[in-house]
Amino acid sequence: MQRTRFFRQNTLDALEASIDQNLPWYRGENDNAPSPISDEYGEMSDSTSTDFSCFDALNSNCADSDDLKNVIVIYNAFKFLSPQQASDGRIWSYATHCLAENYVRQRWNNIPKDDDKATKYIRSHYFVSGTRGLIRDNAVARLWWMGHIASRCRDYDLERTLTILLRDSDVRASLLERSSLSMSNEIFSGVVRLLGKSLNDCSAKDKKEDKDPNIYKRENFRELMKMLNRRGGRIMLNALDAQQLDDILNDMADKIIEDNSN
Amino acid sequence: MKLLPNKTFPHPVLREDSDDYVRRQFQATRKFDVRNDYVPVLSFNFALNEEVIDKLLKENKATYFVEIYCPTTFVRRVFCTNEISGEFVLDKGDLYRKVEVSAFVICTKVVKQYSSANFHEDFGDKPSFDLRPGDVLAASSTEICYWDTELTAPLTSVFDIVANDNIARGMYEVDTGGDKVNIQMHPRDKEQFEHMRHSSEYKPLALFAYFPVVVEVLKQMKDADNDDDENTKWYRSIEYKIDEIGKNMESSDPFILAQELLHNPLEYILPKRETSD
Repeated sequence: MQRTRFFRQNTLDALEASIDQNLPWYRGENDNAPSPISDEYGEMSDSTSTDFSCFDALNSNCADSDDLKNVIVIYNAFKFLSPQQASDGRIWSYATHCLAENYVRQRWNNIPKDDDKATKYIRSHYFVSGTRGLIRDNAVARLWWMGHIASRCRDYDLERTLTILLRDSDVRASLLERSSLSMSNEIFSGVVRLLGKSLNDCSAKDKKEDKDPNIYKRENFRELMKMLNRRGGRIMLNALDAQQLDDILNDMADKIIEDNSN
Repeated sequence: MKLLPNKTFPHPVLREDSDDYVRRQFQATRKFDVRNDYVPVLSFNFALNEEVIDKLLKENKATYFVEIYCPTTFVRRVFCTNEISGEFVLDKGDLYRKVEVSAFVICTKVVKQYSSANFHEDFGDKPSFDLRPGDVLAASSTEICYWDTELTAPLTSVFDIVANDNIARGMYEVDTGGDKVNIQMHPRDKEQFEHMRHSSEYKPLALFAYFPVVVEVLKQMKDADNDDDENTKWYRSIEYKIDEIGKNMESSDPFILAQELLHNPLEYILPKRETSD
């Protein structure tokens, strides 16, 4: 077990400023390319100890929908982090460069040939820029934050919630990557309940979960998000109890599916 | 939900930038504090002089509703209460940097023919409205504050241990020129010190080593030779912590104040005292 590590700020700044010079290392095109990584790192306290071998368990040959196992690995390994700690880009930048570099290189291997575009791509996936950088772009941070947001759902365990969310890229983007909805535990849990119920109903009817329930269809789900945003601008959705919120969401879903099936 | 000033509702809402109600107010004072182990606590106090809303609160058809939103940590916590004053306790680590706190009165049950003699005359003669759960009855302006870890983190977090080849083994020096106080030591000593600092067995000894550094820094703050110091993170953080323990830098002896800020470091290294002492 080792304490969670992070790049010191001046080390991180220097690394980010020299991406263009270190492109051969990021591209992995030359075994002799000098590593840009110095051994200047900080460590958090004993209470943040974890087993770094978790990074070896990451599956780099996967599409978005297969992120589920990776999310569970990283989230469980770093479950002790508070949101404040996990919002520190220095931790995740250290992870992408020093702990999960093989995973990151293979998973995010579409580095553009153009050096300027390559620098931008690397900055996006190896470093953290803004809040979007945490939950969507940084190769390791996004796994933790997906797990953290999913763990807030009160009705299903982590794996079930992730199964519901990662089934479709639109659902994932709306619920995990757009923070306004995912930040509210109450509304997030309500939408996950709706999706979970529709998956259960669908599988009960068809004896398998391969078929997408109607609410997962792109036009239906997007309409649901629009209606939710409109209603949320008028009433405090997160002040409602679970039953009241479920009634609203179920009514919305029924109307959308009925309208779009006509 | 942050209410935009010109947002309209299909019914009157009591708020300071709107004349939906005449001569009526809803005020919410909110203040953050830090409790043991850096737990954020929000104290609140509500004042409302609209009788109809007050009646709904007493009948449990409405509730005071506070929303705490921190975009950096993706936290949006909500609290409901029918008390006019109290505290909400968050989880340690929920907040960082910008925090927005909004307070409302929210309808929790269906209310038919909601009406008040204090509605603006523009709503017509004896207007009434049907309300649904979640409808906003009153809103106060959103308050913004900044939850700075430099203020709430342990004192030792404003110190950085830095390697310096020019310093002899067993010695250390202090540099206050940056945003953090650099404690400089030989690289080999640094390596051992870092290990001690994060080890539960040796941490007390490591903490004791900060004591002379804190004394030195407090002396520098007290002498106030350099105005630039006041703009550094270390200065603001130490100043905040001095205030937190109810002391005054000007009238305190740095040697004693350092011990108080470090919570009596001598106790870290002495055996536990017998209760009869």
